[in-house]
Amino acid sequence: MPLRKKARKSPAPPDRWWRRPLEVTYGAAVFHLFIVVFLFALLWSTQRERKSRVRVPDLASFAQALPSVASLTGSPILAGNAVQVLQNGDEFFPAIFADIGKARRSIHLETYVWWKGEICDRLARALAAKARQGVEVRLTLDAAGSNKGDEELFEKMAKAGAKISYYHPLRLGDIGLLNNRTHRKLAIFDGRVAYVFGHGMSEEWTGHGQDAEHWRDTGVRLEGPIVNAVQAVFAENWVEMTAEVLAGEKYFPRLGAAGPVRAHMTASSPHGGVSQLEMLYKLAIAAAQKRLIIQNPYFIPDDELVDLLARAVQRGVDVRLMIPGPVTDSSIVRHASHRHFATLLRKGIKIYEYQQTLSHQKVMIVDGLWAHVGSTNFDDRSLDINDEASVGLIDPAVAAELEAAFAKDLEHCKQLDAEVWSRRPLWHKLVDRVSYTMNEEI
Amino acid sequence: MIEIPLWVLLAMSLAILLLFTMLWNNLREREFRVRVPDLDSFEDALPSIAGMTKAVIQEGNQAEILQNGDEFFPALLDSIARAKETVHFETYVWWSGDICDVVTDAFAARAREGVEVRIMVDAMGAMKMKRYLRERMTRAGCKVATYHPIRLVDLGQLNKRTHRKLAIFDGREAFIFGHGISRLWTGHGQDREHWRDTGVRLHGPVVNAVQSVFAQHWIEETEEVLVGEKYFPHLEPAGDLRMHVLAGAPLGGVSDLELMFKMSIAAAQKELIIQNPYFIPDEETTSLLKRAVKRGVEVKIMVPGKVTDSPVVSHAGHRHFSEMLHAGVRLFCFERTLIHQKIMVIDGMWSHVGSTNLDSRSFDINEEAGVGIIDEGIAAELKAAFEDDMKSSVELEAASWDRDYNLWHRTFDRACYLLSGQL
Repeated sequence: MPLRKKARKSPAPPDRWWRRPLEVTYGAAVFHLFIVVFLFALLWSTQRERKSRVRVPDLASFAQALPSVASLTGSPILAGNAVQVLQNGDEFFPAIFADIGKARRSIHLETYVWWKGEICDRLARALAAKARQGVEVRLTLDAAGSNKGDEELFEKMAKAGAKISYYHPLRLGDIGLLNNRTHRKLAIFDGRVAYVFGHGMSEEWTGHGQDAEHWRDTGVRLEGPIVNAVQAVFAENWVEMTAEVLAGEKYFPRLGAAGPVRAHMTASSPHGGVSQLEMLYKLAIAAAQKRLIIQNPYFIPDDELVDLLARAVQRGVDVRLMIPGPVTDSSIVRHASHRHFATLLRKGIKIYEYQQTLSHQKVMIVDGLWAHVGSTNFDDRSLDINDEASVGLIDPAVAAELEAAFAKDLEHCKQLDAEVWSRRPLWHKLVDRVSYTMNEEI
Repeated sequence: MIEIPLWVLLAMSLAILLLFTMLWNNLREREFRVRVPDLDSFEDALPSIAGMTKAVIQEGNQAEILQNGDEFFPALLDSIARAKETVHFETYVWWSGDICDVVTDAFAARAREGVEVRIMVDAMGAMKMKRYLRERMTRAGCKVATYHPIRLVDLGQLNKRTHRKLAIFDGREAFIFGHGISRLWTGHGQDREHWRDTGVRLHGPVVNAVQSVFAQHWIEETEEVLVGEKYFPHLEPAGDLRMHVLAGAPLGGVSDLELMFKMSIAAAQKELIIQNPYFIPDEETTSLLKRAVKRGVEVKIMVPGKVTDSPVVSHAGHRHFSEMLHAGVRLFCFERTLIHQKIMVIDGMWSHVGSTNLDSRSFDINEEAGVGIIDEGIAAELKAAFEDDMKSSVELEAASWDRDYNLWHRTFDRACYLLSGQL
């Protein structure tokens, strides 16, 4: 350290040692301060978010904008995929278990939440059994999201031969990465079947959204060329954490057409710039022409998103937004999202609160043509901080299926009324505002 | 002298330590060793190479190789003149005089016709670009942006430059190349004032992907999002070549381009050709090359000889030459002028053209762009050019290399190699 420290002899009874003054030269003190400021500036300049205003010219059709939407989010459109929509745990987990059973060469799973419960035990048993059969099993678990998981279970899987990588372990040497979590939810089997979903590995995600203990969620099962792209997203964090490169046919086979759906896979790993998924959401809203449906558990739009939604309504787009009602796992988020509700309602955006349970799916449907399913919430944590993964599906049938599910969810919703909303008590408005200012880190 | 309580000093020291760790966490490259299983064919490895570098292989494209300035600049100027709606251009080097004025005027003329012209130049690479050139373009209506301007709030970005070289016309035609805008890149590599370089002109669906690489920096610097058919049209097949775009943005994670480079060496089965002006193999690359030779792959690498714009890089590259020569890697030093092209050709079926040098700066620091082309015809054309370049090259021989490789040279190389992280 570039300091000259000298303890001063003090005649008075010794003060607490840390309060004892030290004599240093002015130069040394200024230099020391300069280093702190300099490092801080360096850190800030590498991390600072660069804002972008999405200025989208009016386009004749959403279909025309699709190559732009896909390309600007780093996700080329691939034709020839088969898509199966999986609602809630009741459809999702049986499908996953079936594909685990069928896998012959490799099973890859990345997730944020891995807590405790019967479903975790079953999953671990199934994966361990496959690993013992000689199938390569790789799990990327977020170190924070799987913190509550059962250590013994992880050990059991590892002993059976599964490779587990904890994304960004919570340790001092990685303190700069502490805030950057993987929120991605992916599964890939033999490089030929892929899942993109919102479910966590925990009891809350089982069932069919029947009550507050069983949440509502949506995932998709994919076959066709898009699976290569999903595998590539898994491989990104895998190679970052384990240094193991996944090369060869068993991970990236040459995939022929499997169905009629065009798809593009978007993943973000924000590093200062505008994240791919923020771009995806904003572009999709800006390009919508007829109908826009958003279902998301954490909806905290920034001013630009509010503006984009309002402009969509002005263009004549029917904008419907579904968010959680009383059942939520984060009431701060709920209040933070209220901040802009008055504006949104005034501008003609319809807001529905889902009453039955937590609606956790991150679904977006535009013009009955394009649908989004994935892990990405509508808040700063998902759009600027976490690693996320979503798939865009270009197919009227898939969009129609998701729209039908939305219509069914509407039966369990209360629509907010602009009049009533603006008369909510002052303390409620205050809580909303405080929550919103905190929202960047929620 | 000033009296400061001990706790303040401790807190400041702690802050320094913490900030330094966070900065290091965010900027460090993650070390990795490539473990690629032996594959029966390079073809099988291709979807993996594309996938691990976050790209997909796209079908239905067409490519045209452009050698040196004599082929490149006329093609570029022709495409500029023919563009109807949009002209996008990104480069590192843009100096002044001669060809620089010609290119500048071509862009300005297009902008005056009402074509949207967007130019992205690197703040460092275009330092020698005279102000009048820029003004001539902006006055005509071109939008000119500077990548990572040298200013205090961007201190942490200072080292990170765009080394990409791209041009996209109407979203339907793309160029990827190694050329800078300078007199040095004109001609046909005839002497040391005229360098050797290679670019490629592309048509087909892959142009969308090249446009999106351009759009990344454009959004970052100007906040303007490029949406619509004039930037990203729906592209029908224009040929039958399969391609994948390589765009490195290495901050923090694993370098895509290093992965591409190492994976492709590891997967080569028959023949591996490399031409690169800045070749600093690390121990892992050296061992990958040696393993390739052992597998029966014919490995031929061409680097600059006496004509180089960076002797330190050349010397850093020498560090592992002896070891490679003894293992059977064939090394050629091109003597006529600086070879600046970044070419790889593998098994006569896959070729790489782009901006990426084979050193740490390209892998871990800069933003680069390249294209992988899966086609026997293109591979044969690039191989023929390589063989032609061999005529102006001296092949190194293990015995004489060792004889001349005295202690002084060795020490100097080692020092350069240690520096090579930043070169």
